[in-house]
Amino acid sequence: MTRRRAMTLIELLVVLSASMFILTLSAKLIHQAMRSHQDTRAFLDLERTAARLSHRFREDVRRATSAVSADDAPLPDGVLVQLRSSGSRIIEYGERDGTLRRTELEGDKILSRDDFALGPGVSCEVGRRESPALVDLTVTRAASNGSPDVAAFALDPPLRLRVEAGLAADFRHAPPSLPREEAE
Amino acid sequence: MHWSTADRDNAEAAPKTGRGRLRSGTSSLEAIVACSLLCGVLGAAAPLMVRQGRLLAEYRDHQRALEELSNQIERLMAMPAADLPRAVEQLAPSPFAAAELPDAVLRGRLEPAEQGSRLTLELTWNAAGRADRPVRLAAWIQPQPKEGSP
Repeated sequence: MTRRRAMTLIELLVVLSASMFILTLSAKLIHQAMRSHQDTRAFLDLERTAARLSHRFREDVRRATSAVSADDAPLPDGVLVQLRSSGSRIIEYGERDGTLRRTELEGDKILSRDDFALGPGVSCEVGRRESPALVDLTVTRAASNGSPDVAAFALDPPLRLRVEAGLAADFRHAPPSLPREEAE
Repeated sequence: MHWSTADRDNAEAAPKTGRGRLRSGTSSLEAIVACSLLCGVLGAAAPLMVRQGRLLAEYRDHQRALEELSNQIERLMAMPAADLPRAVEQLAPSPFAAAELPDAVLRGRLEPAEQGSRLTLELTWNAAGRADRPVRLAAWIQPQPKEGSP
């Protein structure tokens, strides 16, 4: 009886083909997993920024006694709204190059700055309503492929955010001697 | 093929398996088991990725629903207290939320609380498991202070 000590060419080809198939599948899966990780990170970063912006804008409007938008008076370039509170303190929201910037001013002196990176192609609008006194901020950004589909996640995911807040709402239940009078 | 005596001795001295056979490679059974395991892992990983995409979409919808409820509460809180019960009955999702959340339904409830009243809003929309799991947000409305009170 003869001993078999090697593989035939056919066996070698079959094994190579099977290995190639499995390696291709694995490589695709690994690529997909890495892409998915990047997309998730970009998505969560944007959502966290949106949540921070929403919280901060609502808080600022509630503490402000009046709001001035570009429709009411000429504002510095890029500024969307100025929120004025008691004294000479002003909070400005402006948009430039995909970043919404919140600047806190005391007269001409800048007290603090806070940037909200929303990515390129973002569109920000501020509106006002008189009765009841509300200020709203609308932020819109389409996905990189132009699709407004919220499920189409990519490295720059789409965003649609609307925040409404009552002007001087924090003083609504305060005793009449506090800044409520200024709001009126 | 002719083997010398020395070759034959070496072959006999080579390591053998438990059954006394020379092992020169993997058996077909081992290869099939390895392939099946690999295919099983790949097959299990693919649905996980799809599930992750859905999870992100659900998270986003939940955030938008919370924003909508916060906006509605801000609007209601800015109204005079006398108009509140009627406004709560006529609640409807904003066009912005209606565009984001399919078939969104907004309901409100105004109940007396220990001090003032408690306003509860809940939002449901057409998504798997959302009909019986609405997003709820509550606010407490304090009575307006009277002029001259401390």
